Amino acid sequence: MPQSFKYYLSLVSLIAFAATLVSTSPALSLPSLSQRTKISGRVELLNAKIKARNGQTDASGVVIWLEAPGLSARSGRPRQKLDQRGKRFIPHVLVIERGTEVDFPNSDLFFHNVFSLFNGKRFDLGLYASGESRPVLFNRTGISYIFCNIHPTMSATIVAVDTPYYALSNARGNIVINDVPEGRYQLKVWHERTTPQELEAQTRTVTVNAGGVVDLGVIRINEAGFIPQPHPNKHGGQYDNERNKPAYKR
Amino acid sequence: MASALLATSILLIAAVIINNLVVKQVRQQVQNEVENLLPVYDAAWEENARSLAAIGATMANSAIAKTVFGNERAARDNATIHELMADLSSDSTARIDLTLISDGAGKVTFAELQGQAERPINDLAGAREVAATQKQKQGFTIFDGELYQLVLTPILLQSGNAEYQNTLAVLGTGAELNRAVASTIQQRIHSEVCFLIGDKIYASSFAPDAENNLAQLLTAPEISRAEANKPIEVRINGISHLAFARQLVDFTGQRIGQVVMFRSLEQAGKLFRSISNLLLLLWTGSIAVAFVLSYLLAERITRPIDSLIQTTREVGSGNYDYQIKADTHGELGELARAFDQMRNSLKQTQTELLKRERLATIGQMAGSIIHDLRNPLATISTSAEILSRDGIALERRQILVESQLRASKRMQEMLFELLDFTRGKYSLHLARHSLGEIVERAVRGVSSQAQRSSVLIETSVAAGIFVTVDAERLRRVFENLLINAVQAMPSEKKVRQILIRATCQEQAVRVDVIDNGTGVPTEIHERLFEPFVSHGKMGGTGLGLAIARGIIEAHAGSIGLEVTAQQETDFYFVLPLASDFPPQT
Repeated sequence: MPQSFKYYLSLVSLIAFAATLVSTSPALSLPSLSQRTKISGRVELLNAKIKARNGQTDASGVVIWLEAPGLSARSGRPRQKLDQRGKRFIPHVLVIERGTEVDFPNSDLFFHNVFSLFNGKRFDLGLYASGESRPVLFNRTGISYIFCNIHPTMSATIVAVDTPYYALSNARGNIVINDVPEGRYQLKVWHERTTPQELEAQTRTVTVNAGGVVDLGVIRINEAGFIPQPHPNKHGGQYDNERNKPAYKR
Repeated sequence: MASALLATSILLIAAVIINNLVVKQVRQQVQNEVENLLPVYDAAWEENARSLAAIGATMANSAIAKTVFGNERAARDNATIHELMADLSSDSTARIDLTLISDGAGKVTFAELQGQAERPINDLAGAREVAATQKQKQGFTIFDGELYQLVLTPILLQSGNAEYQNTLAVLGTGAELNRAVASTIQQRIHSEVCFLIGDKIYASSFAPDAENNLAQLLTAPEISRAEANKPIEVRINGISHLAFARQLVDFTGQRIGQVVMFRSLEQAGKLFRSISNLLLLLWTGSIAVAFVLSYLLAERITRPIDSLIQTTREVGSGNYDYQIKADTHGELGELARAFDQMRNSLKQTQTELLKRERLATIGQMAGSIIHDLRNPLATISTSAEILSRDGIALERRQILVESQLRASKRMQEMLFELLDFTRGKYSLHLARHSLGEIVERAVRGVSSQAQRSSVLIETSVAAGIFVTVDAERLRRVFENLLINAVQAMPSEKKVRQILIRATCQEQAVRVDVIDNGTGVPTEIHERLFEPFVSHGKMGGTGLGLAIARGIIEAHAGSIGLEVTAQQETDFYFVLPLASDFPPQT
C-alpha cells in the first residue's frame, strides 16, 4: 500500500508541476486568464515529525487559502471523494469549498466506520461493507478530522474553506493558487502537525495585482510544538488500552 | 590367608550392597525429579494459557471488537474480522496460531489457523458454555488435524442494566502444539516432550530421526497409562528414559491426545557409573589393604601363635627343652614369655615327678621282693629252729637241712628271676618234666601256709602228663597262684578249698587253679596280670601274677582268669605238651 501511495503522490506532484508549468508559461496562458494572477510558494517544514522515504521531508498536506470580505465558496462544485483503501483514507488531506459533498467509498474488502467528531463537520457513517459508499455534505467551513471507528490508525482531514482560491502543497512543498483576481487577501495556512499559534502567525495579507505573479516565498512551518495526541473513538472513549496511540501516523 | 579371603569377601559383599543401594538411591532421585517436574510442567501450560487468555481478554475487551461484533452485518463479515484480529493481535508478543469466533450456540463463524482462513472448522461445544458463563476457559482442541491449546473468551457488551452483559460472541485464541512448544516445555522441564494424537506423534522436541524411532515405541499401550509416580523405562537411541504421560482434554473433559515426557537417565547413568567406578576403585584398594593388613597380622599374630602351638605340641609330647621364640612385643610376646615360664616350671616338676616315681617303684620292687623272699626265708628259719632242738633223729635232720638248702636255692633263683623281670626277659632251663610232680612239689611248698589258713588243697592231675618246661619257674607260677588263692580266702568261710586240675587238650594242657574265695572284680580281670596290680590281699606287691604271666608266656603259653559256674575263681594257664607226648610206647 505505501508503494502505491507513493506512486499516487508522485503522480499528484507531477500533475501539479505540469499545471504550474502551464499556468506560469506566458506562451501557454490563455488571454482570458491573463488578467488573473498565479500565487506560488514553497512550503518548508521545520522540525518535521515525518520524513519521506528518501530522507527528504515530505512537505505535502499543507493547505493555503485566500480570504477576503465578500468572497465565498462557489456553489455546484463537483463531488469529492475520500477513498478508504488499504486501511487508509486517500487522500490524507482534502481541501474542499464549503457546500461540497464528499463520498466515502469503502474500497477495502472489509467494513469501515467513518466518523468525525470535530469542529468542521460532525458525522458518523456507521459500519458499512466493502464496495459501499456514504456521502457527507460539508456545509460548514472548518477542519474535519476523519477517522474509522474500528481502525484506529486511519485518519484524514477535510479542510472546508469558504473561498474558491485554495491550494494543497505537494511532497516537495510546492504550492500554487491559480487565477486569483486582483485584490487584497488574507492568506491562511493550515498544517496538521503544528500548533494553532504557529498557523495563526502564518496568516498574512497578500496583495494581488492584475497579470502579475505573486511569489509567496518560502512558507516555513515549525512542527516543533506539535504533540501527537491519541484520538478518541466515536463514543469519545479510547479505542482500547493497547491501541492508545497517536492517530496521526502514516 | 583364609582371613584375608574372608575380609575380601566381606568387602565384596559390602561393595555389592552399597552398589545396589546407590542404584536404588539414584533411581529414587530420578523418580523424585520426575515427580517434581510436574508442577513445572503444569506451570508451563498455565503460562501458555495465561498468555493466550491475556491476549484473548485484550482483544475481547477492545472497543473495536465490541463495535464490530455489536454490528450484525460486520460481525458476519470475515474480512472485517480478519482485519480486526490482525489489528488486535499485531502488538502481541505471544504467538497466536489460531483465532476463531463462535456464536453463543458454539457454531464457529470465523476461524483462522496458522494465518489461513477458509479452513474447515468443527463447532465448539465449549464455546456454548463460555457464552453462558461469560468466563474464560482453557482447553485443547483439534482443528483440521492440528492440535491447539485454546482459550475461549466471551466478547461482552454492557446492556442498559449494569448487572447484565450481552455475550456478543466467543473469541478463541490458540497456539498450536508444535515442535516449538514442545521445545519450550522441554527446556523448562529438561525432559523430552512428545504430543500425541491417538498413537501418532503430532509434534515432539526430539530430533526428526529420533522421532521416527519413537513412533513404534509409543504404540506400546503402557506408556499412555504410565503415571508420573510410576513411570516406565524405555530406551531411545540407546539411552534409558523414564516415560510418563499426561492427558490433553478438550473443553468438555474429553481426552483428545496426550503428552508423553521422557526423562533421560543419561545423567543419572553417568552418576551411577562414576559411583560404580569409585566403588570398584575402593574395593580394589580395600583388597590390597586387606592383603597388606593380613600379612602384617600374620607377622604379628599368626606366626607367634603358630610358634606357640608348635611349642605346646612339643611340650605336650614331653619335649620340655623346646625353646619358644618369644621375640615379639605386645600381648603375644607376653603370652610367649609366660608360656616359656610355664614350660620351665613343668620341666622342673616333671624331673621331680620322675625322681619320686623311681623311688616309689623301688619301694614297690622292694615290697615285692620281700614278699617273695619271705616264704623260703620262713622255711629256712623254721628248719633252723627245729634243728637247734635236741634229740632230733638223723633222718629228720637230713630232711630239714635239705629243705633249708632247697629254700636258699629258691631264694637265689628268685633273685635271678627278679633280675630277669627287671630286665624284662626270662632265661629258661627247659627239660621234660611230669606235670604231676611239679604240682606236688608246689603244693608241698605252700602246705604249711595252707594248713595255717585251714585251706584244703586238692589236686586232680593225671599221671603221665609231660611238659617241656623250666620246672622251677613253673613251680613258682603254681606257688604264686596258690599263695594268692590262699591269701584270698576270707576267714569267715567254713569250707576253704583249692582245686588244681589239669586237662589235656590237643597239643596242650590246661591247668586250672580254682578257689572258692572272694573272687576278683571283673573290671580288673584284664589288668590283673600287669605288674603292681593286686586285689584281695593285704601288703601285696602285685608282682606275683605279672611274674606268672611272664613265665607262662616265655613258655609260649597263655594265662588267664575265668569265673566258674559256681562263682569260683579259676586262674588257668595253657602250656604246650611236650613234643613226644603222649609218649610213644
